[in-house]
Amino acid sequence: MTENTEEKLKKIFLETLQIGEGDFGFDKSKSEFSSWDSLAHMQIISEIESVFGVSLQMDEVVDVQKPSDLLCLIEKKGK
Amino acid sequence: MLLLWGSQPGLWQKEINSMDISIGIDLAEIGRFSKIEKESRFAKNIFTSREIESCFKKKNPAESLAARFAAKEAVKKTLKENVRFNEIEIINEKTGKPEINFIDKKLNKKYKPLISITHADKYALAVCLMFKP
Repeated sequence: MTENTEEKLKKIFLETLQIGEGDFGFDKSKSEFSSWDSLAHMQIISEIESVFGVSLQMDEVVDVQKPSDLLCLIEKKGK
Repeated sequence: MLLLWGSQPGLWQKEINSMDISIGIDLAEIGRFSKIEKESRFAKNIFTSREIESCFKKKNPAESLAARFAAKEAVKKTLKENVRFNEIEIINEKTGKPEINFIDKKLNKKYKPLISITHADKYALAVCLMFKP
């Protein structure tokens, strides 16, 4: 897990959820981000697939509860 | 079956009791679909190629995309399985009436959905009534 990966993922969250850096945290839960709804979730997943060149499966993304879960998934894919 | 329920009061309750029925509803903001590009990963993750072609032929694609997204969410809320958005297809009959087509044909046999969709200036709304015979 590189700092670069963290920064790229954080940027995806800030832009998609339209939040400031102070409102973001890798271990904040989905319910703590008021703009993280199902549409935003799909936008985040799609951006991750485009930026990191990975393909995320339904059973992988359905259990995602916080940004760090996605960080683990990206790392697992070797990116 | 619905005609039978209407014509024989009392029987409908028995019919409903013998079925598994669930309901799903969703509201989508049309504006959030205004910048979606036809060839984007996001569009392909949510919509089937047939839906993308159909929506982008419309004068205001965002309205159609939002309505379909709301319909897919409404359907997902009635299902027991986790199904990807792009495996639930909303197609319109010649009359314009929307119908649900699951890409996984087993789900077409398992579920019998009824869907209703509407939209106004800013929002699209869909309600799904799902019957599992």
